[in-house]
Amino acid sequence: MADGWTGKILRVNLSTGVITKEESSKYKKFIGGMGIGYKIMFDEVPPGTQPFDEANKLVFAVGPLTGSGAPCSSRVNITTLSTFTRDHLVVDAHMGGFFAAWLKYAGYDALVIEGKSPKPVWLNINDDEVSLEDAAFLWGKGTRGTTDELCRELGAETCVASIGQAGENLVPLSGMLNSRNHSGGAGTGAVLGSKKLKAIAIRGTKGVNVADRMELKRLNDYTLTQLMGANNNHVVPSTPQAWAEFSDPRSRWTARKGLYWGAAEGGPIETGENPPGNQNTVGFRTMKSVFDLGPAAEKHTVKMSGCHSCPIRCMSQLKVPQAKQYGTPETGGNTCVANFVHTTIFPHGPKDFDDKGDGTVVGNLVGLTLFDDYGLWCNYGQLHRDFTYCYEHDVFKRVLPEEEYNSIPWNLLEAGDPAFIKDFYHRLAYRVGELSHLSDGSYVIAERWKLGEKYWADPENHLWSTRGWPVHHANEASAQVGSIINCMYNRDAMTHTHINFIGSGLPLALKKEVAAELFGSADAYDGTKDYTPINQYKIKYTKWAILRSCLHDTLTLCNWVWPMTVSPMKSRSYRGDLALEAKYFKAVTGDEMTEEGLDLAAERIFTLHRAYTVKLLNSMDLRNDHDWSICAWVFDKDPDKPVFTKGTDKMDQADMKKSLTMFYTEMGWDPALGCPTRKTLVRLGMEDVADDLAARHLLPA
Amino acid sequence: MSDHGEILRTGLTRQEFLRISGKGLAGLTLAPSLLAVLGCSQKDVDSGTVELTTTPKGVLVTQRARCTGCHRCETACTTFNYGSVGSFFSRVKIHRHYFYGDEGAGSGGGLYGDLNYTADTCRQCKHPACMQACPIKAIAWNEKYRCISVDTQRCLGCGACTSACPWMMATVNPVTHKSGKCILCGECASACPTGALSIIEWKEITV
Repeated sequence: MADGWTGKILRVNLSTGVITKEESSKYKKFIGGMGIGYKIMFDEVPPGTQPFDEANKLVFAVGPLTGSGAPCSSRVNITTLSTFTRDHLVVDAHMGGFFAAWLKYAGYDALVIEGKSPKPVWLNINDDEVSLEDAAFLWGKGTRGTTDELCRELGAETCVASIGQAGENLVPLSGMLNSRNHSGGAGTGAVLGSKKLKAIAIRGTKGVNVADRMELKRLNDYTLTQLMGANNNHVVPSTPQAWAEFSDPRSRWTARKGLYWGAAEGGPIETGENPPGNQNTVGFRTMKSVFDLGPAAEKHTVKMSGCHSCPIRCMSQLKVPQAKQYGTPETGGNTCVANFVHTTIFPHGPKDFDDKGDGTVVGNLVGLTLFDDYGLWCNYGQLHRDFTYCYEHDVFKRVLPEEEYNSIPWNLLEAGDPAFIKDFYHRLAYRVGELSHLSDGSYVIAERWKLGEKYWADPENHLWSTRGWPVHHANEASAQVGSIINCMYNRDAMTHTHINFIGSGLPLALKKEVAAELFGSADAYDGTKDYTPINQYKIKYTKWAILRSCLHDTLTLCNWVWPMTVSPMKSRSYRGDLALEAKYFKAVTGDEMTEEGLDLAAERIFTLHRAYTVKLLNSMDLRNDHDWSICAWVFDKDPDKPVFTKGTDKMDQADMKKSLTMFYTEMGWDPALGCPTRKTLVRLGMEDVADDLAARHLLPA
Repeated sequence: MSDHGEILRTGLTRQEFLRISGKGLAGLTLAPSLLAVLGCSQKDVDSGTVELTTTPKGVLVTQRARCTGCHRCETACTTFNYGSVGSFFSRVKIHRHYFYGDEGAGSGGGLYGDLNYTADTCRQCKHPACMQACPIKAIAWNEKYRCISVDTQRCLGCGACTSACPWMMATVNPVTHKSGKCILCGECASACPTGALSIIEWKEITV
């Protein structure tokens, strides 16, 4: 593995302190990232293991494209057992920033953390030299303070991933942070906390060897000038512009004349019009600060930033002097839910400071800075929706001890004051009182606080599965396609392949044309809230969407920008290039590869996820024991509108059951049970997995 | 008004530009036509947020307010020059300033501070300390690149050049054990997604 991969996996046993290195080539058919993560977990973490057990592991894995300069390639996939969903099945966290590239530059395709340290430690990776160090001086610190301490000791170029107080205190909804605000969530912070691993510091001075540097450069130029749009690969601007045939106000391509990075050093910088073809303006296209926080954010925007190697700068970088009065730094920022969720708990909205609407900007900067410093994780906004649900339904009044209830500054909540967020997050991170169980996750609070059927059935609460995860581009995103995707994982689905296509900004007729080319019929693609019953083309669309996201978490590339399904270029008839991953793979690794070859590898990886879920759950009947946990509102919403009529995105139970059968069949799984068969496991080169399941009587006849 | 200011107001020759920019441009008034060519404003120059590095090929303009820290300059540099993509041995350097700013930890800059960081590279010095420090004279004028460069065939990887450079620009690749420094290939600038790095050729300035 001379090109692309580093060839090495680093394994750290915290119980024994033994650090070993092994060849990564044995996992080559799983490519990297998510594939390596599932394989190691399947082989090494047996059913019955609980997330905080010594036997649980965390696999941080990157892939052949990570750090190669392929756009958006600094993603690390972190696989472990869930802390927050029913039965604690396997989950992945997906962390951007700089950690992934730096793991690669230090010389590793994966890092396996196992065992449990008797005392707090941090892991010091300095290329080939790796050691565990005493973390007594870091324990109790936030992610920011931890990073500062380690960078002062090791140098300003060190990349640190750290847990905060939430992870230390085993808060189930917790994560880790690298490079200030790049998070890996899904409870991984608490798993690290249970192992007493405070931080991982990486200095990496090596490089990712590339087989064909000129081809890699050509591909980079081609991608940035011909294929890539804005965040989520939205390929039309949000406002009408002379060069653009189409526009869509929901597009994340926000750049336009008159929109500025208003707080830029030296004076405002105009985002301007950035027609495709010029790679030196791509980074201005997405101004998530105003997209997420409203127009009041414009004058506070210093610039945008984001992950290593990504030309789409989706992370807001704000300067908000008002934040200082809450004891938080005046600069910072994030993207998407982590950027705007903090003020959603205010029943009357956040209070404004100096300008109309700036309460959203101030409150969220205070909120995100504290949230990320504590290392909390919001479960795609569910933590905050659960707070609102419990507040509106007087759950807190019912379940909190009177003294605790009276100690909570509800007047600040009503006033929309960021001081409430400060008090609230402190309680969560330090597990203060009954309220803090809100961050145990939806499944636990539903039981603990006896929230009943109506909690799961509330459409405003956006819960998808009674196993404890929310919607993530589900029924509202291509009907059955998003719905099946949301049934498949053990957390909220981290698949964006479909929503990127849906939200691209191109007109419906054009998207239907593209869908027909990709999936065999224009019937694969329904307009939003204009749905039709399931058909085979939608099933192909579903499979493609899932496999591409698995592939991206394996290579690794960012599924929030990839794949290049469509393009901003009229000269290309807006067609993208779905063989692009394979072209990069070949240029970087030197191995012959086709789009179909990578699709097959992704199918192997996704089927392994399914097989491991069977194994952990000790059930072949994933249809009933896993997938059919869809919350009732999905079928019951819009009572006045019949299903499959214009204006509703509700789903139909019989149609969804049929959809699952068709999807299982397409995947080569048992059509009744939804579990992998021997035939399929053998076809995908996983005889050992089939044998393992058969020995446990978990393989259908 | 200084002599330099007068020169810049009335026009510019390459030789004069080299002489002036070596001393820094802050405090000087640039002719509007020159500012237009360089893609920056007088305010940028006055505030020191724009750095101009003169090279035999042209002027490298670094506008840190536009830099979003994507590091694509480093990946483009190392792709082209090494066929091995990394950061530490990149000949253009953003990462060293990214987290904590141009002045390092505790300075209040960078991602953890004022959100600003400058991509840095070889100054193409008139009297290069790296060249003088090299014990085997492997750093010398290269006619092909038209700048001072490292002869990697001969380089021993001793690191004397790194130590000698006031900005520690020449860097020994830890895998190949060869030093490298900027050869003005321009890959970093052409890959920058926000135009924070650009190279303005002399012919555009002196015309």
